[in-house]
Amino acid sequence: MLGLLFAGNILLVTAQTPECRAELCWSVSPAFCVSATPDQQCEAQLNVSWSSNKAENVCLYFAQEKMQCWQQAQQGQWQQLLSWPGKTEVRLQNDTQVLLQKELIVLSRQPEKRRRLVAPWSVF
Amino acid sequence: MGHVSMKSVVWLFLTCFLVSNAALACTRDEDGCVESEQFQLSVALGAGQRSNPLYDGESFPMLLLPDFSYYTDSWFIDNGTVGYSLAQNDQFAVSLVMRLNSEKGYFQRWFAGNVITMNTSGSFLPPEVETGAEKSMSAVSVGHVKKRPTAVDAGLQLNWFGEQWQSRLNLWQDVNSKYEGQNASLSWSRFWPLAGGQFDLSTSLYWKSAKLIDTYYGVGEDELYYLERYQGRASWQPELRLGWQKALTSRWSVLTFYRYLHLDDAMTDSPLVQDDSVQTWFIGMSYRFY
Repeated sequence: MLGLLFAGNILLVTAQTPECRAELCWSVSPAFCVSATPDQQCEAQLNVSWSSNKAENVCLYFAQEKMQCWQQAQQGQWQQLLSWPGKTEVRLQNDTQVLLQKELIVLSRQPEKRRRLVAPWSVF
Repeated sequence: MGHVSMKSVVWLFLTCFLVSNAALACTRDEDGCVESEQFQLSVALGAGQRSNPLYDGESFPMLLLPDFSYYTDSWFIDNGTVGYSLAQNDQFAVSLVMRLNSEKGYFQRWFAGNVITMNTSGSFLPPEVETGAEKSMSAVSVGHVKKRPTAVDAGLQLNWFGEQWQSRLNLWQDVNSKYEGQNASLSWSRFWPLAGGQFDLSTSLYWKSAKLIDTYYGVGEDELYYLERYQGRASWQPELRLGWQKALTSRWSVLTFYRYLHLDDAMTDSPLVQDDSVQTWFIGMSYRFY
């Protein structure tokens, strides 16, 4: 299930369906956001909640930064106001491996533009 | 500047810049920016011409001037140049490029490199033809020499972008062995707001290898016996371009430019070449279709 939220110039799309790997499930929202221009960052409250059938030692990472760790927990919740520029990864990992990961995506309503590499009106 | 050194340059830049392969920033709605995967076509209607430096060479009338481009994230086709960008960031782009060499355009008016103008254009601007009295055996008419070849150039293009300027370096190699040589250019352009429009000034320096000059402007033993012989040397050709463009609506603009290309002794020593410059001018209105 998807939810739509407007925050200023930014459209946030929140995913409610949890994603699982083995006994560990989580949901991350917003899953992606739509900004007005390609250079605008996505600024939103990022919500992560996870649960597992067995007690886990896990840490949550946003991009390369460690945000929070849980010791011998069966569930956890975390939220924080953040801004991210483009594709940014969120992941849940224990000491040895990445258990769950998700890519947050920023889309732009304005089509991306490129610089022209050849001089205009240069046919002749 | 043969195949080997060209390859080395390609690999050097591949190594240096592939790691920073981000799209070129073009976030504002500025000139010189195009939408990715969107065909862009503008046509300018007006008056203009490109002079022909050759004896009996017909100047090229420019009444209808196209400007077209199509860019994806890496590939592009832009006014006759096909390219693939190996690396690009905010200030820099390195691309592999290919195009038809334009030198044949002075020998054959309806050469593909001189595409799309009106068929009746000859009546608008009559060709500049020398009178017979001024000709001698040392002046070789373009009509008396053999057909010049259609060469395809491929090479490397580097672009630099600043706030109000940009620069471009091109290294080209003949890839279908028509002149078996190279050519290169370095250009620098600056933009100023002027009278509600944009004024631009570009300076370029072209280098053309001896084999290129010899193929197109040389007169060899295989030509008619009574013509003066000439063996081409490498040529340096500086160019100045002034332009002004003003948008009237989102689709209509006023477009005007003047270009002066100076030909050095390596060109003017050829018995085929009459003038020491190629001058191009245009004034008209452009309409953007896409």
